[in-house]
Amino acid sequence: MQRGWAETLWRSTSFRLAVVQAGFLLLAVAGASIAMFVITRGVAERELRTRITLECNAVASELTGEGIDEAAAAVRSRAMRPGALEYLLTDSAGRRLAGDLPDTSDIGWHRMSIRNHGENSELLAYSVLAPGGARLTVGDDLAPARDLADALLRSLLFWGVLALLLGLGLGIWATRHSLARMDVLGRTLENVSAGDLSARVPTRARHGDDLDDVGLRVNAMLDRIALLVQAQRRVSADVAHELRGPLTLLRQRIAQAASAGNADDRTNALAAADAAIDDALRLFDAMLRLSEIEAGSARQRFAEIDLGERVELITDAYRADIEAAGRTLETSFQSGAMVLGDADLLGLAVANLLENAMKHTPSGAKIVVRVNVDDGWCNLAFEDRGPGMSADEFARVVEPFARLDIARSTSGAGLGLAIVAAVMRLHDATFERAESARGLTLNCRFHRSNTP
Amino acid sequence: MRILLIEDSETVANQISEGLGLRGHGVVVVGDGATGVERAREPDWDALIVDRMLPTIDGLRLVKMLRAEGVRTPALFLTALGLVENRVEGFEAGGDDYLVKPFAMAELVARVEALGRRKTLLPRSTQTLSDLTIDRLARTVARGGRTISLQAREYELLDALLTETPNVVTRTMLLERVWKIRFDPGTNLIESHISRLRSKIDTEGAPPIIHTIRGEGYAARLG
Repeated sequence: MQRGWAETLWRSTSFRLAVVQAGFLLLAVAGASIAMFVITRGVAERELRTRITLECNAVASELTGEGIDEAAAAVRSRAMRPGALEYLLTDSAGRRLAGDLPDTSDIGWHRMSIRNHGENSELLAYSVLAPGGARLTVGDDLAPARDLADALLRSLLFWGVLALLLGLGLGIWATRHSLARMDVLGRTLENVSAGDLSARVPTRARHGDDLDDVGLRVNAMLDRIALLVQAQRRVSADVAHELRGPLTLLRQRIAQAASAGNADDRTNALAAADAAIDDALRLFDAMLRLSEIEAGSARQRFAEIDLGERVELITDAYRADIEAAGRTLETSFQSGAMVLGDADLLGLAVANLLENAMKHTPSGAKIVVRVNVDDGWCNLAFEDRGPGMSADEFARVVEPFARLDIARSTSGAGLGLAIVAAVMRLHDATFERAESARGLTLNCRFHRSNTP
Repeated sequence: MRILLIEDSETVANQISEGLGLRGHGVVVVGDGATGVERAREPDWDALIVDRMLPTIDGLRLVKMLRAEGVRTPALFLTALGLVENRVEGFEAGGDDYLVKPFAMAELVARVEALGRRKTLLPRSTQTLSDLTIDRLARTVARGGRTISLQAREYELLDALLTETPNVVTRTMLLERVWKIRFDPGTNLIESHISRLRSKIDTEGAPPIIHTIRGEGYAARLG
């Protein structure tokens, strides 16, 4: 998926957003500049008119009060002041008495052009006709007002374009940055597609942003997928490996039956063959069940269950067998141990614990099963006086699809504790081994269901 | 019993017909779902055996359709899908029992016969076999006029056997009914319970009530 750099940039959402934002910024700056320009010009011109009107009124009052000569003197002296306006005073015959504005015949507001120091400038002027025929014109240069508006416009445009360029630049930088990280994400996913299930998106634990969040979620998904794929591979491998034993046995039994000397021997050999088939099927079933539990779909049909009642029923079923095998079974069940779960799978877990205990304890050993309630928890405690299990061994058993080599040698039922661990994981229950001087102590801790 | 078997695999269908035929049952085989629904609507079947994966209409939908139409003939699902959720689906669709392939013929026969009886016979409140009497209302058992005190589960075990008398009840059926265990445990749990029960109800000189049927299960009957 190699594309040109420009094309890649253009395809990125954040860059498109940056461009759209820059466009809006441009529109806003242009609009603001034009408005500022117009308003500034308007305000400056109004100010100019006010000054001209005041000046005009002052001279006009002198004209009417003190006569035309005094007025001409006043105009001359006013024209000398710094920052003075431009004047023209003519008598009724049109002769220039004072001021240096060019002649004009207009009355009221008008504009005129003059050449001043070799430069053309535009003036705003106001002319009044005084009683007696004298004409007074006061004007001022429009350039300073325009210069202000121009300066404002220029400065606004300058900063606007700068902001625009900065925005675009930032957009490109941010896009490149996120593109680079998206690229890492994409490459990780490509690696996974190519078969490397251990590939993970690098993420920052602290100061993480939204992309880190996406990365964390993708990683969680990959963890789950890897677990499921591992489970599946494991099942296939286990099926192939574990079924070899029972099938070999089956073949021997069939051979025995074929070569049996009498009917009784044949019947016995066939019964043994049948038992071998049962073993194989049970093993197959256990593996399928383990992968079913690991897949977690059973959570959808979780219901409220009395853990004590359920465990009692299973221990009752096994009690006769356990006692017939020369072990003693001690149980105590507290009522009200309500948990959210699957009755069949919990039963299976307890059955596996009991079968495991029977298999690994010497004759005469005691097996203890207890259920008690403790605040928000329901505890299932399991003890036997067998050879026990080291912390390492236990850790391996709890790992999905792990199995103890010792257990492996005593038929496929070695999946038992792996199934227990899987069932507990499914129920969000802890499954821990307690240090015990004699035998094995296992504790399962369930969240107690809230509803009464 | 007249049994309708809806199963698309000819080999399996022949085996089942033969197995049930040996027990004197009449089996009609249908190979696909659509024809299956058609035939299953006929009123005189004692039980249906339905494979879950069928051409045209799958077994689950087939039974759902029949139940929606009010057809109550007991149905047993046959399936290669042994997961817990598959079984739950089967019961939710209106199935009465569920058997995972591969199965022992004895298991199928025992379950189908139990289904057939379910249709015709409601459990009687009192039942007598030889000199053994069970009172299902009072939950008491007496033999030869002498009351026998049984623990709750021992009573349920005896009850389950007597309900099906004189037919065989398999180990897995007993585990399901008495202990609600729906998985196959690694050991023969039932044998010890049966011998305990025998020791309580059998009396010196009287014929035994509970028989072990080798390779099949247990039966409560005379002789």
